[in-house]
Amino acid sequence: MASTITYDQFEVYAKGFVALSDKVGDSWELRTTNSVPAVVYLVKTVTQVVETSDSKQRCSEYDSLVEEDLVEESDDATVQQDILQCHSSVRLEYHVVYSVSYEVPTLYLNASYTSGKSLAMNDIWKLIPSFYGPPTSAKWEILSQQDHPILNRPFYYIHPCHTATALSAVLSQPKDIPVIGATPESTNYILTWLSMFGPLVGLNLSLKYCNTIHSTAISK
Amino acid sequence: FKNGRQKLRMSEDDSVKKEVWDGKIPVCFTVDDRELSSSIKKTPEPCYMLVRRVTYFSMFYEKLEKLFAKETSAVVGDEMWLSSEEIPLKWHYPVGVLYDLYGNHLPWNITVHFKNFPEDELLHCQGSEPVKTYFVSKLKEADYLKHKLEVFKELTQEDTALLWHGFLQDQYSEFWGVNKKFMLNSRSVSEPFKSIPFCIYREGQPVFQKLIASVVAQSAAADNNKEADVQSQLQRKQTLEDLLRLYDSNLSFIQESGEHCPLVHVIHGIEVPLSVPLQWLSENMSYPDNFLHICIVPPKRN
Repeated sequence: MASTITYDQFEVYAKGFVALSDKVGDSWELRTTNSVPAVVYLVKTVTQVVETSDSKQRCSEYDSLVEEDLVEESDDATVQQDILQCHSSVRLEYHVVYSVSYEVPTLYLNASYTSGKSLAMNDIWKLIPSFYGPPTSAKWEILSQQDHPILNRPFYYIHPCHTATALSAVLSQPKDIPVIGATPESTNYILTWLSMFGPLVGLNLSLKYCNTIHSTAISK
Repeated sequence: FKNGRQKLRMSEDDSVKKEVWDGKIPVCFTVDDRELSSSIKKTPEPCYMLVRRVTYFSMFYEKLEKLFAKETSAVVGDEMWLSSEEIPLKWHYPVGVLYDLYGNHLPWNITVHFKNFPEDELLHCQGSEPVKTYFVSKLKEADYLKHKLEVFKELTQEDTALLWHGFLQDQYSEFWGVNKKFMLNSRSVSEPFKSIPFCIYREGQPVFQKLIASVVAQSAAADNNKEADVQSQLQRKQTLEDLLRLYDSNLSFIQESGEHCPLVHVIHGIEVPLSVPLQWLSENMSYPDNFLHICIVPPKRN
């Protein structure tokens, strides 16, 4: 039995998840559209230093890395070259959006340099730990580009077709899914879902989330 | 006699499917003259093509690149993209959808670019892999909506290859030889789809999708004369009107003047009557990805 949720359930869990995020000091935000009816989605922005192969970006990034005190300015050309070759400061945006067709949350992401230019596909893949790294042809089937269903511009996303069946293996009994109208703390669904799919794109949940769930469970 | 009549009805439906498959639009591709390399003495000849409505422009990128790239200052690594009157064309929207939204006359004038790829607006499409992946993912989504993926799961690798090859090479019989499986359930029996795969497009808006069942139970108006089980079997086929009302319950929009105007909807350039059942539409007028792609367009000015 696949574990799908309605949009209304998604909205309840999303609001609850943001409350949890605030409690543990994570930075997830709830955004609401201006449309009628309004829909919500979740956003988290992270700045990270990652590997890059884009030489043009390296030059401009080096200056901003020095400014932010992330590297020491060096006159040594070899040192400069080493730094330039490896790392850049990148802004990662993660969005959790409800999929109407599959009735599950979907993870979208975009990555851009501080200049605003987007990361190339190959550099996005470098965000994925080698443990999860798929064979070359399969990568297109897991992560590819699509228009963000609300913002209507290109984002990378994880195909939701695997989500429902993958989740049903974890949430073995229907009662693991909180019913609608439950308290904001019962956010097992989005938390569980994110803990499964987030790591595929370098998004790891703080262990502090486990403590909040346990304490809520105990207090019930 | 009854079988003969059924066969006739079948072939009428098949002729609709074939007309949908064969629909073409004459296009005139011209390279962006701001990108012409300085050594070019005269503007290159435009390329005229009859493009199938049901395909994606990205299926022709390689051909266009071969024709035009050398006339421009394009270098290896530059990515091609198309525009119609300065509007970048989303390659993952079928050609027919793009024409219904943006095409203004025939032949449709489209500009070919190699520089300044608008990455905030267009998906990347380098090589043939992204188009095929996108097409297969739409097929999967459609079958998930119709049959919870039960039919797609049974397809062999050869089936998927035939679908893609038939679609790519304009081989109607090859394509429908496999595609007909998606019109039946996993036991190869004809049954209303659980949900109808559709997308509604409107200029400047994200794609609209919602769940809509093929049939719904007749409203259980109390009728003491009928047996309870007969009542429960009464089902109503949902129509195009039911679908469009999901998008806008009033089927109208408000013009700048404040005037209410009826929505104009087109599928494959045709204003399909609102009373047509969704099941029939889905089986006979879907695109090869098994989706009904519907455009909301401004009313024609008289």
